[in-house]
Amino acid sequence: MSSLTVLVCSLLYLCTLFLIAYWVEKRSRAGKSLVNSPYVYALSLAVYCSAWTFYGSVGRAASAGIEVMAIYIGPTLSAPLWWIVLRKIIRICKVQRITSIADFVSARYGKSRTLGVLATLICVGGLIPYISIQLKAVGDGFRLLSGQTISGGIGDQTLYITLMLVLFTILFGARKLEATERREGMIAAIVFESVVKLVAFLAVGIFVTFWLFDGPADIFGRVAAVPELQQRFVLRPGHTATDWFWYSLLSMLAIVLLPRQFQVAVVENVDEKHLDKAMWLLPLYLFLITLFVLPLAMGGQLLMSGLPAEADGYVVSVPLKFGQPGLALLAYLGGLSAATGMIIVETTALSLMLTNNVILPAFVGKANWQNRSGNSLSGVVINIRRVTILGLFLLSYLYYRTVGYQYPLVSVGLISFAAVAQFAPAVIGGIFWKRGTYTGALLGLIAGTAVWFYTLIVPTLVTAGLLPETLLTTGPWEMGWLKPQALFGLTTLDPLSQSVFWSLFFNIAAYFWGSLNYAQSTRDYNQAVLFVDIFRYARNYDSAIVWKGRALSKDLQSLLASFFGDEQAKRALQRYKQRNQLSENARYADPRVLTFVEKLLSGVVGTASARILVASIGQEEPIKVDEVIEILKTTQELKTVNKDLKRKSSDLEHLTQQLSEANERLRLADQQKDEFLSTVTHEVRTPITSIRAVSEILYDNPDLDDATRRQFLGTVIKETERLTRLINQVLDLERLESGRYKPELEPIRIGEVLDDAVESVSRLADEKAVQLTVTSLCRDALVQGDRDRLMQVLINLMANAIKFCDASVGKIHVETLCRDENVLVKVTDNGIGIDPIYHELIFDKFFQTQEHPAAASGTLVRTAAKPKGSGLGLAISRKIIELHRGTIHVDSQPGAGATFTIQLPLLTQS
Amino acid sequence: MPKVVIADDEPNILLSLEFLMKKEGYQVFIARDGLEAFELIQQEKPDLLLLDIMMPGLDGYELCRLVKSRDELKHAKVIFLSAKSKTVDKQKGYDAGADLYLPKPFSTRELVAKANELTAA
Amino acid sequence: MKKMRLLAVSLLFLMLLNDPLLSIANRAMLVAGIPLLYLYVTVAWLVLIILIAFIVHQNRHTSDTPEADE
Repeated sequence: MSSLTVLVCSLLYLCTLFLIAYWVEKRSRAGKSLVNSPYVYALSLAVYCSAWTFYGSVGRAASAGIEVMAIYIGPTLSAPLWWIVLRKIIRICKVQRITSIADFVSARYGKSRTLGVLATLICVGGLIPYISIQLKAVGDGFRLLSGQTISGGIGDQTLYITLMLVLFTILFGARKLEATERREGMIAAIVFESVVKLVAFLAVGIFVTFWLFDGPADIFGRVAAVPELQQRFVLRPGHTATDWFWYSLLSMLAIVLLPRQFQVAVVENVDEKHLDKAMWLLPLYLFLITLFVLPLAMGGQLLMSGLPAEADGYVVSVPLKFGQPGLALLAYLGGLSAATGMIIVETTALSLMLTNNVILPAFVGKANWQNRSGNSLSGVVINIRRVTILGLFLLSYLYYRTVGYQYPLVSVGLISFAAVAQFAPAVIGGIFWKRGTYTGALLGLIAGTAVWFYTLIVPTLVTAGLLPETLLTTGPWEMGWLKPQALFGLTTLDPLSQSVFWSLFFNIAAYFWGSLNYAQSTRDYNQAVLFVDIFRYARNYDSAIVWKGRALSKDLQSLLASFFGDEQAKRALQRYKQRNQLSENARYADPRVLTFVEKLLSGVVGTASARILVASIGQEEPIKVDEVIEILKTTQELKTVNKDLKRKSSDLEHLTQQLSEANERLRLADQQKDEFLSTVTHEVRTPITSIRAVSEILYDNPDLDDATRRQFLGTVIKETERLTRLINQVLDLERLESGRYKPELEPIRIGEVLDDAVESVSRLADEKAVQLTVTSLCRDALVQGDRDRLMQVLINLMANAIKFCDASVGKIHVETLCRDENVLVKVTDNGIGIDPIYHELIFDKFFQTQEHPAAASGTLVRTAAKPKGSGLGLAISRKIIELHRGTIHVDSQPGAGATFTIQLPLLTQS
Repeated sequence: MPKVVIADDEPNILLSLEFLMKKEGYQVFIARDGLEAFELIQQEKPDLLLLDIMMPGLDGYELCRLVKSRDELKHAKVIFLSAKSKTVDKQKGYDAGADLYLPKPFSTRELVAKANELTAA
Repeated sequence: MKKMRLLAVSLLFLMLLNDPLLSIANRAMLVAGIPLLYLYVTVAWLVLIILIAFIVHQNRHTSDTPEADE
């Protein structure tokens, strides 16, 4: 196959990726997300299978049998634990807006910049070789398929493919400002690639196993006849089942800790529930893609024996040799998809790390950075990411061109696995152990990485000729126990396993030692609690205040605006404040707002940078440990306590209300008493005025004529009577109101009382020539009552009626009615009537002489023209009726007379 | 002959005031409430007003203010006769434009003397 | 409950697919034409996958409660 054909096919394949990614992003912008599915999630996790799987596992199996399967069984063994571990990590990252594994480590240990940088360096250092072997795999596949050797420089086809990948990654990996936002296009492309590589590998596997051979038994049967191949049936000599354990452990960790895995499993996760399906779908995928590895390796060796073919290339070379160029091309494209998928996600993840944990913190620490960059920080951030992507590709390509091509695929991949495994103590400890500290994590990472470097990287440097061979054979300075591949004389494990063992051993030891011997900073502790107890805090995370400081609201807003734009920043803050019922216009921002802003920024520039940014505009006060503990405890107990408090406070409120009501009643009573006194005084003054004036006239005018004299003396008598009456009534009312009066209750006939009352007022009615009629329908009704008092009421009502009727034409009608359990007594007159606004007031003490708002408002109430009398009659009547458990009210319209109705409970009816 | 309008809702007080003022040589007009008094005042343009404060309809203060705001009426001297004896009430009376405020019960001799004094001035 | 079952399965197969149990199958012989070690590992692996799927889907309806978080 000509190299041009292969190149065109490769580029066409990559164009397909572009189209898929573009189409999906377009759909997603239109609101139709295609990636929200557990199947998509599981398939995106299959980015785990890189070119190393596709080409390398066959190569490894050819030389070492099934040990390579441990790399795929490991994730299956850890899959059940994802529900416990990965779900927690996902939740933490969502809540804290963590964007990468380095960011995670940094955030957990007090948002430490140092840890962020260290973790990023480990990732970049550990993964550049890994990325470069993907390029190598692409190149090798290309070479195999086109039957050419790789030409250097401009003509290198790998370079073209690399450049396409750079473009793709920049377009779909660094598109959005918020690193936490999902890259749907990229994920769609990855899912497509996962399908392609599985189909391609299965196709080749089936072709070799069932076309070229008669099924697996045929292959293994023939292999059994070749003694040196038969060894592949068992674990290779020197490789024990213990090594197998370390390999599976390594892959158990790598499936989560590799930056690309963290990216797809955590950052791009849409819904935690997708984990459910992914927990068995991904293992199934790994199972299928590994199923033909051993048959392919064995079959390949049988078929290609005597030919100069590397086992790494069997998937392409075998179909090609047996006249299936189409299948070979498919296999090549499968390898290409495995490589490109890995490269795209890995570089995206690494660029995020580099930007957010190394580059931006260095920039944002400088005070004038924000000012200088104005409002286009979002552009700056995205561009920095793009440049780092380009830089990563360049580094990987250079590594590939200079060193990478000398090593087989699997060993380089495992070295990378071992590198990221160093995060395990810090990450696992970080989410389950609150006492894990910054110092512990730092020491652990340094110790683990140092051992990793010494035991795995140093030997490769020896192979490359950079260090003397003796280092491996006799150890440095002739110290055999320091041999990198058999550290401390550990020879029972293969070099990789012993490296993993020693690095994790020192890592974990240092992590514990550092955690237990060094105090935890407050921020560290704060984050520790939030991480470990994430499920408890996830719901009220915002209330766990981690900031104690002051920042001007407008500074915060302009900080946000520099990343998100004015409008969006303003909206985000407003929404947050409304949701949390914070004051909109506070000059200094609430600590919760600070935390919120920091979290928003974390999504863009990483936790460490966000912390620096927010710190740069706020004056942080050192927060004491017990304060944090207090805050967190409060948060923890908030729900229960809150409920209690709410109940108590409502009880209190109720009590307070009752108290203030009582107080109000007292105050009112006091005021009423004052008013009453002053009214009484006033009422007493009026008759006295008349008496004094008339007396003085009589005194000064001894020569008055007899008639006038008599009139004046009559006035004195009448006014004195009035005075007496007033005093009696005041005393009467006082007795009724104070409760000193107890009505002497006895069964009385209402008709009899009425008769007596009518008799008393009949003279008064006659004097004024007012007609008084009585209809007593219920005269025999018995009520429990005080005869004299009831009579007093009836007389009062009738006397009032007479008073307000016009002489001669006045008509008063009194009737008794039985209704239900009550007896009604109605006194109706055809007098001047009462305006409805006074219907209640007339029963008040001294209503007629008091100033009423309604009266003062200019409504002229001639109808309620000041009646004669003390103004206490109705008040006394009502009091008496109330003491009989009855009611009294009036119906009237001005000019249309009035009806006073008394209602009393019936005792019995005879 | 000076004219006096007397407004009060107490008939017995009116009776004695009418007698007193007539005896002093005034032409007396009687009103039983504020509105009636105001009609009389507009009609008669009196030289002196003896006003109760608490009357139905138009109260004494209002009436006084009304009178003092009319050019053709404001020459009338105003004496309040009221059962309200507190300082604030007196102050209100003077603020409304009264010339004298006598709390009830008042001395008839004092009233007559002051009334004469005011109308003579 | 789901958590405990998953943990148990994980631990069980971690033992089944490691030393010393693995070394029992680690011998150069064919069973039904397939190398014993390869057969053992493949079958155990498949069983593990099926078990996980079974546990996950059996618990599907009970795992959505907030307590599942704790």
